[in-house]
Amino acid sequence: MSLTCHSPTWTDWWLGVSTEPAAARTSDPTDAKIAERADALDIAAVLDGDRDVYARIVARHQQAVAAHLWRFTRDHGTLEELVQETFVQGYLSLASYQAKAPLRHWLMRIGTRVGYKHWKQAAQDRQRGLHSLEIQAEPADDDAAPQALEAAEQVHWLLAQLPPRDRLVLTLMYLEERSVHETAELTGWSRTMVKVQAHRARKKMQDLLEQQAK
Amino acid sequence: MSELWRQFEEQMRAARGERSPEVHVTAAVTRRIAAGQVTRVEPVDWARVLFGSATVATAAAVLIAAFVMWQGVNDPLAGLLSPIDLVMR
Repeated sequence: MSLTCHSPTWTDWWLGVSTEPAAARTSDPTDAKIAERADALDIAAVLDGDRDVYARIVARHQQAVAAHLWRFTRDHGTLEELVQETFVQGYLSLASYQAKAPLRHWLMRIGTRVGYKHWKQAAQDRQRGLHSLEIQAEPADDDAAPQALEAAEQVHWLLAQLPPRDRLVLTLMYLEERSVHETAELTGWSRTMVKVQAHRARKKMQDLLEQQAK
Repeated sequence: MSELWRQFEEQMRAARGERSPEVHVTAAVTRRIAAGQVTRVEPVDWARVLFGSATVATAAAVLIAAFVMWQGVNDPLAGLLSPIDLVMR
């Protein structure tokens, strides 16, 4: 998986999304290099049979994975379960990690799959009449901006009204500001598929917003 | 872009400022791995897979050939009895 920067196309412009990888916008390259080197050593140790070393990998990336999965749930307990599941799945398939991209990106991809599965399960439960027991989010800490929390609640509520596929593409491209390329990498969809899905999802969201406004 | 969408984008921009809660799953993940609840998938040994497939294919071919041969010899008297079969009935 490579997360190189791509020149913007007219569809990127029309969809109103960034073409610059989110990772490049947010992380310090020096820290990233150190973390990558530490990851490479730890992965080699785990694959050699020292599974306790995997705890170091978990400790290094759990907060980043949690921040990503916080888009998939508003419940702290569920968040911990999803993060845990992501790392267990990562351990299970660590041998298939080919180091073409930083481990964190690979874990994010697994996390996206885990979160998407969680949404699909929740949608199925709703169809069967089983109500989701998700608890409303509490502020992460005392300093948490109330406006951000309120906006996040509102955005998550709106996105939750859409089917999981639409919700996923809007969450990644608009809420997380990921490029079409990154979204394709995270979801495993083709870039064309991402653009088509984003177009449909955006239309559905606009219809929903109009309904809400009435 | 509609005004409603613009407002929705504003909300998303504000929502991005929200910090996710702290999580501490290191112990739980380590426990699950140590408890043997998970077994790491080893890389596929393609040579072994190829050898296994070739063995199965050979065995299947031998089985089919044996079945065809058996069909021809399972009743040696069939050739002798067929001319008088009608009379016997």
